[in-house]
Amino acid sequence: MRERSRGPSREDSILRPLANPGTKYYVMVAIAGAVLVWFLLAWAWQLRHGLIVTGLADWGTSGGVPWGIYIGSFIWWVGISHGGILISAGVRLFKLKVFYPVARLAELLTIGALTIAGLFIIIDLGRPDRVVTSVLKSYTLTFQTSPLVWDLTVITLYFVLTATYMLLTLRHDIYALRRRLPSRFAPLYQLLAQGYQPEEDAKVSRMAWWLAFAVIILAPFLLHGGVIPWLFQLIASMPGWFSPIQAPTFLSIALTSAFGSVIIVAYIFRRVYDWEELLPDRVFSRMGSVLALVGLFFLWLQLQAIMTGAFAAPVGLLTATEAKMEDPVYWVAIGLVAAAVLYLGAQTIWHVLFSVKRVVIVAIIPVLATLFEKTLFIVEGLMHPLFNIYRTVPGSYSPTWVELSSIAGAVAMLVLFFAVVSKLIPIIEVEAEHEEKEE
Amino acid sequence: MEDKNESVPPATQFNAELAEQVAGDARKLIVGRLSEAEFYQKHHQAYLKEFGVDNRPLRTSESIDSTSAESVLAKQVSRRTLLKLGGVTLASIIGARLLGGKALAAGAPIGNNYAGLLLKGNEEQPQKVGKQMGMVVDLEACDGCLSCVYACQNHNFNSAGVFWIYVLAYRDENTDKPNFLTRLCQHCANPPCVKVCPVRARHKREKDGLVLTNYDRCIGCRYCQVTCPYGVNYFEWGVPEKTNYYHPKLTDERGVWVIGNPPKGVMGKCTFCPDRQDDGRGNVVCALVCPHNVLHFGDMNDPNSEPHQYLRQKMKEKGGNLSTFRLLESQGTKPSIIYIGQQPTRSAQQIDGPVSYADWGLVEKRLDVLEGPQPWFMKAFGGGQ
Amino acid sequence: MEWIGLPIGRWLLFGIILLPVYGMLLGWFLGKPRNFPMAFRGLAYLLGMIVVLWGGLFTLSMLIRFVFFPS
Repeated sequence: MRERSRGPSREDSILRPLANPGTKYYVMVAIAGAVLVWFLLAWAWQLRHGLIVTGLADWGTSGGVPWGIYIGSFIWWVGISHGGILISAGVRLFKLKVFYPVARLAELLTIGALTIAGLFIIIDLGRPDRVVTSVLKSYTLTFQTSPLVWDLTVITLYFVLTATYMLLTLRHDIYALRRRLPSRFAPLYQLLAQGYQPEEDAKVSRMAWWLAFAVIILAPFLLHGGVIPWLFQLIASMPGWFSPIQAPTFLSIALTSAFGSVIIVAYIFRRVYDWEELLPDRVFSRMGSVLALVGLFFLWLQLQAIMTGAFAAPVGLLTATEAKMEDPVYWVAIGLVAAAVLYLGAQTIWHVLFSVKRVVIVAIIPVLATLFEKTLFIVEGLMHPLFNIYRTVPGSYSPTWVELSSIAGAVAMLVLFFAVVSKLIPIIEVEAEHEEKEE
Repeated sequence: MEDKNESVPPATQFNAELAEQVAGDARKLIVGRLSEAEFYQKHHQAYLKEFGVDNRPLRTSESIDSTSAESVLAKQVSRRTLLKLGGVTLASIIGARLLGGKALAAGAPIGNNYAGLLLKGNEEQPQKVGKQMGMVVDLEACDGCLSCVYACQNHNFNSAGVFWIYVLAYRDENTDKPNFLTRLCQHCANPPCVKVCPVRARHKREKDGLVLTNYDRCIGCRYCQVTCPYGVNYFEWGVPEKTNYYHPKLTDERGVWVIGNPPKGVMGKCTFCPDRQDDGRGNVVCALVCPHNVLHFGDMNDPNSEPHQYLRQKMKEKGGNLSTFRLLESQGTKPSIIYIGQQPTRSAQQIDGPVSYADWGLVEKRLDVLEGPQPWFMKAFGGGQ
Repeated sequence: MEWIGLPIGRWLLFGIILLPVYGMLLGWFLGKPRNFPMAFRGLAYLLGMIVVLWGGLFTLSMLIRFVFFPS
């Protein structure tokens, strides 16, 4: 494929982040760095004294819940990671060219979010020092029965497929921009584009198509609509969890937070680097519409769960459902998602209501609501077990400063991740062929 | 001094410290570190001072005699006066010692009118081959004295609020009097905790079907606790409060560390005392100390084991009409414990028992005491929990 | 938990989860334009990233072990 010359302006724009940073950049990095250091100290405190420093406790006679915001956060970040590759897959497989400009940015979000999600599993463990040795030692036995091992396997696959996708598609861009990339990172670029020949583009394009194909089956249907909800929906001891509906429910809310976070990250870059042309308004409008659709699907599934659980359900499910419906936090989360869906749906139909800023602000809602909803799902499920004869059931839970520090620390990590990566590689794809023609 | 007036409800004025010492020495007696004479002499004065009498038996011969076992266990138990706390513990330990490990003659085949469990030959046996250790728990004999709870907690050096065996009194719709449920790990034949463990730290021992946790391999993900329908798992959230000095060896005969309490960051639960299973002593500590013959430990796949013998005996007493159940049987876990008594219904609710955990100096709700250290700046903010 | 004598996890992993990966690998190696060096490079990236991920995790866990769980 011959490189189409679009003139200096598009390349200039793409390269803008790679230039030397200004004061604002360093201030942001410093703040994020400070938050990260705080989180690391909190984590060190937890490693030193054990998980007793969290608000977690055994369910049953102890009156607590063993899983809380760490696991909720893990699911949250995996959900956020779905935006990335799904957008790329949409571009490659379904020729949804309108999303092309945000594709690589979204892929980076996938890699960053997945890494953070994996970190939350490590943080939640009592003995993280053993995780690799213990898991690998018994893998041939445990993969046959353990939903947690299936989870680790599929997350590994998803991460690896996305990383491979990025590595393959980056080669062309680095070569195309080779004269203009900052020379101090030359060894990195040489490594990434090692052995590049322009003739490989056709093959890489096909390979990327197959990668997108693999991911679009794996990520929504086998990861966030598969092994992750299975961690809960296969557990009959917790009637609030035990239902096939968890798979589509998890997927739908994950997609809302995924598209929501892509919208936010894209907007930040658009503002900072004046990318109004590279990331035009219609990108945000369309992403907002998709968000409305998946949000609506999520609300519809909540209706199913409530109807089934509240009508004439067995005692265990009835108790769990009633507890959920009596919890104001639940209704706040649902209400916020509903409000977001309403606006985003309206701006799809009546375009006069659309503005990029409004879409971005509204997109924040499902991103936050997902963290609350997922944590609530976990904690309330554990508070209402099947075997509720104990006086100390339902238990109680409130996260401590250690747990809350990890939430802040994770966001800081993502900020730093983007801050570093955007200085190293172009975060918008250079190849202009995929770009939608001006209307 | 103890109030001996029968119309006064049980007092809580006994000497908990003495009871703890006696229980500790009773354990040493079990393993043979202390002789009976030493044991008797050690606390004789204290007993006289506290209770005015010392009714603990002192035998001069070690002869095994099943009839004397019955008399030792019988009428000395009076739960209204907690007077005999230490003595009862000891008496039942000695008595139960005599009961353990005896081969009894084959009895009549087991009938098929247990509520929820029809035994039609070997097909219905949960674990098809080999030994499956389990229990027959006679809830009709249980009176909620909590001796088993105290003994297990101390024997395993468990932290406060960790109850590998737990006894609860509950009110249910089918009866007026309080019911008791002795809840311990069911050592299921189809254990969900084993299935979900991502590192196979939780496993089922082939030799005797014990479900155990490998403390060297567990990564502390707590999925076993999430999955277990019975709520028998206790995670070591912080540094264990007590050091295990009692067990001579913490690894079982396979060399796997499964004995005693877990270290920080690792899951623990009732182990059916594998050290006792491995060195031939047999039985489990909770069954040993129970003053009312509630717990009967043995091989559930062996129709001639002590628990099955007991079951048959009870059936005979009740004229063939015995109500039994397995807990949460519909969950498909194939628990190895058969309960004699009425199954709790869905409306069963725990109530205060005649003996409270506080009476034993135990913390009942672990969350109340589960608090980690606060760094100086959190203390300045008034704590973060 | 078993189907035709095999534990359910085996069916799940090899029969469902890995299906898209099989398809992808077939597409890489058999699809046009034929370019085996690139296909192998892609496979190398794939396997290499697995090593990077678990190696990184292993390094982190060893760090945690030596600092917080010395024995």
